[in-house]
Amino acid sequence: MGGFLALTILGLVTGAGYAVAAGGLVLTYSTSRVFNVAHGAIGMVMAFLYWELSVNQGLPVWLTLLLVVGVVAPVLGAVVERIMMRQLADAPVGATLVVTVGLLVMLIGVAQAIWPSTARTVPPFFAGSDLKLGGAVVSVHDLITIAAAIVAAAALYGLLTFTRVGIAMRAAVDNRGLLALYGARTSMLSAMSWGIGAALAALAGILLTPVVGLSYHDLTLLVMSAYAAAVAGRLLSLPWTFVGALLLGLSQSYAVGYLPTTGALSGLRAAIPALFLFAALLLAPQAQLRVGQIRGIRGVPVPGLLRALGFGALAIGAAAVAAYALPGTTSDRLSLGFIYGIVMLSLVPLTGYGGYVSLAQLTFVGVGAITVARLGTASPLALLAAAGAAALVGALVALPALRLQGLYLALSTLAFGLLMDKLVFQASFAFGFNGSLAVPRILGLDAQSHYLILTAVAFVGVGLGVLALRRSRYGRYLIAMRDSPAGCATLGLNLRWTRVRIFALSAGIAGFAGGLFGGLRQTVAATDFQLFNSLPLLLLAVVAGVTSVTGSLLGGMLLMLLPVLASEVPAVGGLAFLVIGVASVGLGRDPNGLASRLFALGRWRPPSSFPSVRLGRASRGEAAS
Amino acid sequence: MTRAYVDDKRPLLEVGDVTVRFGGVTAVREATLEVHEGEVTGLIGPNGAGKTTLFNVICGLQRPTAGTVWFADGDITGKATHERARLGIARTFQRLEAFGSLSVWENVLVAAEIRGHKRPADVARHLIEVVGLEAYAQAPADTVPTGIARLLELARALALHPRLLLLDEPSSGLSAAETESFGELLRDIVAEGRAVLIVEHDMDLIMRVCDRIHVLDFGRVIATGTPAEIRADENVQRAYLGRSEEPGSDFDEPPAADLGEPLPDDFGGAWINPAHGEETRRDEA
Repeated sequence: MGGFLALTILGLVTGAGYAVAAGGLVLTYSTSRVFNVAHGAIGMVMAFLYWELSVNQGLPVWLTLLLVVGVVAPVLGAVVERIMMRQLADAPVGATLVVTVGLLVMLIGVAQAIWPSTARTVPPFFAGSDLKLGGAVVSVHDLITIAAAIVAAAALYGLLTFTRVGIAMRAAVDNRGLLALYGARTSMLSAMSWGIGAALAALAGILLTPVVGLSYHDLTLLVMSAYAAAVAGRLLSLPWTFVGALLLGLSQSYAVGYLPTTGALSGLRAAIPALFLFAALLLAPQAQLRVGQIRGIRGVPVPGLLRALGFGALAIGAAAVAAYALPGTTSDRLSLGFIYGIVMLSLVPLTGYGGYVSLAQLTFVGVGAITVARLGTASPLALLAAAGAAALVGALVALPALRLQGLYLALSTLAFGLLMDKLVFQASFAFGFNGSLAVPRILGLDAQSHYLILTAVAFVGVGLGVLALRRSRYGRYLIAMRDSPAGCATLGLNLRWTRVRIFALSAGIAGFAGGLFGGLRQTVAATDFQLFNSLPLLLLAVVAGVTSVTGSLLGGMLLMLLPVLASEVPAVGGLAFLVIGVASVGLGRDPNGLASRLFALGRWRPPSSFPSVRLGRASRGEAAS
Repeated sequence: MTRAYVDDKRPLLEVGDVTVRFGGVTAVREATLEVHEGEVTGLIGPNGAGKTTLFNVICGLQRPTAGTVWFADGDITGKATHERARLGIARTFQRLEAFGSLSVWENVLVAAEIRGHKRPADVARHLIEVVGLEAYAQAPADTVPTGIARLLELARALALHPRLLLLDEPSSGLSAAETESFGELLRDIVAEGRAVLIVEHDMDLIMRVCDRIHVLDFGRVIATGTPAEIRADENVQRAYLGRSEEPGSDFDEPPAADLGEPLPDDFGGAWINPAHGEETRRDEA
């Protein structure tokens, strides 16, 4: 019984930490309608800062807490709001996701640059002074965590319900312009809510560090737990969010206590927020279609068939010359660039045309690689099987979020990536626990030069396919659906079915790339397809241009070059995450990316893209939808 | 112009006792109305009366709290929006829903393609001509004036070859001459045996083209009849027409004089009216 009590207490403590984080998330979302994917990353950086000041520099705990939670975090939140978020007020949900993911990657880059990877521990508050409760030991730190959650809950509730500022914050969401008309300083309000949100993220990060460990990724993934809790509160209700956080903490704690701690299931603890999230999504109400604006994003021009064929032949020719003129290692690198390019092509219909964001595209690549490895054949049919398997998985991911839209769909891909990372990829039918798989060279092309030509041909083939899709009626449906889901529904388009198909298609292309990737590497492991590597991939795709084939090739080559740079120029390469983060925060609003600037070189003036002219009674930005 | 109402067959659309509640606000209260084939039916009422909400209920974007919707002798209350579109219900939006990234021409083409016409391009080309948008065909839809975007939405809805066409304030943004020819177009549409249900603030247009009018006030249908009957109805005069100095004026006109200065563009159309305010908020959430 003592074990149960101890687990319950641990669960409550973890849940309380989640509640603090989730409270901040709900506050910023409900006051600015921007879902901050980097919420956990802010907590992570602040936890590192706390370590730096209190452990490394020896400042007293109370002073460090005051400095970090009371000063640095709120200032950081307000600065982020001022520099990045304000311009996102009317942006589509895809753009807000890309920019906040960019912030996340940037913060990880900052943390890794300032605090290089090494073992660090943060002692709990009042270490050593434990209390006995029944048969279980409760530390003072635990009690402080629970108390902090209760105080944060009460303070937030009071702020939003009873104070002028809080009521104005909620009003700002409904109609910023109207509120300004009544004399409220709306810019001040959202800066304040982001400041408070960041402070809560910092507090949660510091409180949970003794439980989670001082880790770049695990603390950043705190956003997943907070998000799962927030979905229980439908992203708006604070009381339900707190209930969700406690349930999540408890279920995670019981899972640790009662499930096997070794082997494939040991990842379950980390996967529970993802499972919890899927359950919450299934129970969440169907989103209402939002109406009331004409929204358009000017895409880059779609080349004609002849032009596309010409460029394709050029790319294959260039690859062939490189294959014979350059050393084998360079061939392998270029092959990798083309393969990444295919993965980015998989984002073109999904993100570029459809406006949906997938945060776990590499996971589908992994599914493709596993398929080819398990089939053990070098036949091109294995690539088709890889595409088919990944497409099936993609459809399955889109299903739980079927009734929902944009934001929920994107975040369920995050949950899916985590689930695959921690559970499925570790299973014996996949890579096995910390294992790896041998993959046959596709078509038996052992020469590095031949493989380069194969990947170039594959890229051009998929690229032509994507362009054909854009020219087809299905491409028009995707763009129409992005611009106005309600308009499409009233014309008779089945939105759910269309969404599942586009997810399946995108995942299928990524799986196809996975087969090629496996053949190139010949040995693959779960670490090749980690969720966190999907994020820079998405960001580079958008920065390079996620609406065009050219952008995909550019992005693929850039993604390939980053680790090369890191190994050859360590001083610059270490900042890769930082650079990607900054670039995507700056360019994330324009899905046409760098490629559109390339196209513009031959023309008079740069193409006008976003923000586009809107007519009629324009309403505010993409909401919860 | 107005014809006697003939009740010889079952109406194409029957809305029965529909109630819609948003939290504490009742936007539509036990509303009942009928729309017949071959007729233009008007739905009028002051701002916030629940007209757009009722449209959303009919096309499936809003589930009613209570009540039923019958279309072509079938209960469609539980059907999804796209299923209703396939049964033959098409609509335009008061707050426009054109596909901004596509050209005017592609907007209409997409509709014809979704509908599954054999030669979608021909259907789209014909409709662009019918509504007179040839000059704008290649312009991106998010760059054309509001009036043009409304005509685009009309062409897009017609591309479904609908049995019932729902028009939400189609004439706002049109010039007097354009409104005149728009009225003629409506009569042509119903002459083909289709049904039109129109929400409109332009009383001249309503009185001229409608065969039958339903008046909505605070979510209730307070009167039903021919234009002549509606004009004479005391309830209507008290609840609606009486509120305006000139019966022909546009009720959407903002009370700008009271506020002293022009309102910002992103005001969102939520005039100070409790019922309408809630409705607007819902649309955006």
